[in-house]
Amino acid sequence: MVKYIVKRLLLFIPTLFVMTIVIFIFMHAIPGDIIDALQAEPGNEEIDRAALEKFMGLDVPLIVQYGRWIGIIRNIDGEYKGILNGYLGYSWIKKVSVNRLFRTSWAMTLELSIIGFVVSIFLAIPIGIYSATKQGKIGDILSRSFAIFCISVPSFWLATMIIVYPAIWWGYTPPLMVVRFRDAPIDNLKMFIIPGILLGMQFCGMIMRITRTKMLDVLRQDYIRTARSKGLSQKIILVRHALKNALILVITLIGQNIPFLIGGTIIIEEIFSIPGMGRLLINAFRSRDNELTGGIILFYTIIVLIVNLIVDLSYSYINPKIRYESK
Amino acid sequence: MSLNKIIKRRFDKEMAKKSACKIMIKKFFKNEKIGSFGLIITIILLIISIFANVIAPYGMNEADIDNKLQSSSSTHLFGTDNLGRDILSRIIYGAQVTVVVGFSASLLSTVISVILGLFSGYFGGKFDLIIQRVVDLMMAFPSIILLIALMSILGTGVVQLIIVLGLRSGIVGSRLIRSAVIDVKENVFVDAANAIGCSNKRILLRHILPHIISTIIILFTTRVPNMVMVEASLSFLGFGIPAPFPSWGGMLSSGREFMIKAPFLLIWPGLALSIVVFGINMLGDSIRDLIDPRMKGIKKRKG
Repeated sequence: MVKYIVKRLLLFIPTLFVMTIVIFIFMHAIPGDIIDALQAEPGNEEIDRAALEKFMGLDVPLIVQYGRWIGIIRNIDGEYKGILNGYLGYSWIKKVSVNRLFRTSWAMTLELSIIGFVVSIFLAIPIGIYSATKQGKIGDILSRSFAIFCISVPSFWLATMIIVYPAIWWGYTPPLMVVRFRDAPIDNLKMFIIPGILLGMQFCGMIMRITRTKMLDVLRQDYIRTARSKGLSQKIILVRHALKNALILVITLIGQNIPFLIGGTIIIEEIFSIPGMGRLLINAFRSRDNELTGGIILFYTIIVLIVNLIVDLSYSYINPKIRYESK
Repeated sequence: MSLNKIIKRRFDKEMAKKSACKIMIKKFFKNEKIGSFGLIITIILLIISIFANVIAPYGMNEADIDNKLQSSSSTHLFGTDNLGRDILSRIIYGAQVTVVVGFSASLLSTVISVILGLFSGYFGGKFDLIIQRVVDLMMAFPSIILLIALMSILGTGVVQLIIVLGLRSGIVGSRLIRSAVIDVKENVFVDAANAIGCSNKRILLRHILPHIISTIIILFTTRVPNMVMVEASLSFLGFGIPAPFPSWGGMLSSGREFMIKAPFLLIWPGLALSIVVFGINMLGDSIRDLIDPRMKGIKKRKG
C-alpha cells in the first residue's frame, strides 16, 4: 500500500511538469496578447509596444519566459518568482498578482463544487440502487426518467428559469449577494444551495445511471445466486454482497467524472454572478489576460490531479484485490 | 442430416440475412417504446434542420425593429427578440446548427477514436504509450476549460467548433476502442489470420473492425447528445457559434439581458435543447440495449 502511494505521488511530478508546458503553450497560442488588450482600452492608444514588452519581460525568448514563469530563471527584478515558489503570475489587467485574486475566489468554487457533489451523490446512489432492485417496475421507470431529465435539461437554462420566474411571479430572487461563510454561515448556504444543486444535477443523473448499471451487473453474478440459494435475506444480499462490489466500480467512475463537475462551476458561476475561479477564468479569456488564464488553468488541473490521486488511493483501499496484492 | 434439413437451414439463413434489418426495426418499435419516441424526435429534428429554409416563416436575421420583444402572437408564434427577429425562425435555423455540429463533431470524434484505438490497441508499443499519455493529459483538464482554451486559440465558428469538439472527445474516446481491440486481439481467429499470412491491414479491417462495430455504434450514439449539449454551453459562454448566427445556446445567453422584460426569449431555445437532448439520449439508450443485450439485465448472461 505504501509502495503504491509513493509510486503514485512520484508520478505526480512529471505529469505536472508536462501540464505546465501545455498550459504555457496555450497561453501563448491564444491570438492577441496583453498589450493588445491594454491598447484597446480608451486612452491607451499611444502605448509604446517595445518599451512595454521590455517592461513586462515579453521581449525575451519563449523558453526564458517559461523558465521565469515556473520560477527556475531569475525574472526582471532578479528574483526567482514562479510557480515553484507558489507565485502564479501577475494580472496586468487587474493590476494585482494572480495569487491575490485567488485568495477570495477559490473558496467560492470549492464550496459550490462540494455542495453539488454531496447533493448529487446522496441522491444518485440510493436512487440508483433502488432502481436496480426494482428493475422494470414503475419505480425503476420513474427513477430512470428522473436521471434522463437531469442529463437532458441544460443546467444553464434551468438556472436562468429559476432566476427569472420566481422574480416575475412572486418578486423573489435567489440571493445573489456574496456572503462569506465565516461571516454568516446560514446566509452563505442559502446563497450556495440553489447553484450547488443545479451544478450537481447533470452529474447526479450520470452517477445514477452508472450506479444502476453496475448494480445490475453485480446482481447477475454467480456469487449473488449462491448467496440467494443459501437462503440469505434480500437485505443482506444487497448490502453485504452486491453493494460492496458495485460501489468499488461506482467510485472509480465518480472520480473520472469529477473534472466534469468542476468544469460545470464555470457556467453556474457565470449565471449566478458568483465571483469564483470560473468567472475569473472566463473574464481572463475574454480580456486576453493570459497570465491569469494560465494560472487558473494550472490551478484547475492541479485540483483534478489531486482528486484523481484521492480516488485512486481510496479505490486501492476499498478494493481488497489491490489492497492485498500490494501489501 | 437429411437433405431436407440442410435445405431448410440454408433457406433460413438466406431469410435471416434478408430480413435481419426488418426484424431489427420491428423489434425496436415493439420493445423500445421510449426509444421509438426518441427516434421520432430525432427524425423531426433532422427534417426541420434539412428544410429549415422552407419551414421557417422568416429569415434567420430578418429584423422587424418595430415589433421588438413582442410575446407570442399570430404573426410571430414564439414572439420576437430584442432586434425584432422571429424566435421560431431562429429556433428552426438553430436546429440546423445543432444537427450540423452535433452529428459532424460526433462523426469526427468517432473516426478519430477508431483510428487511434485500432492502432494503439493492435500494435501497442511506443505509439500506444504516447497516445495513452496524451489521453491522460487531456483528461486532466476539465473538458470545458480545454474546449474554451482551444476555441480561443482557433477563434469562434462552426468549423472550428466541430474540429475542437471532435478532437477532444475523439482522443479521449480512443481508450474505449483500444480496450475493445485488445479484447478482440486475444481471439484465436486473429492468430489464425496472422498464421496464414494476412497483412496487418487485412486483419484490422476484416477481422478486428467487424467485432468492435457495436462498441463504435455505442460510442457514436452517446457522443451526439453530449456534443449538442457542449455546443450549447460553449455558445452560451460566448466561445461557440459567433453571435448573429442562431444557435440555441447563444440565443439563451443573449436573451438573459432582457430576462425580466421578456422571459419568453429564454423558454423556447432551452425547451428545444432539452427535448432534443432527451430524444437523442433515449434513442441512444435503446440502440445500446438492442445491440448490447448484456446491458438489458433481465436476459441471461452469454456463455
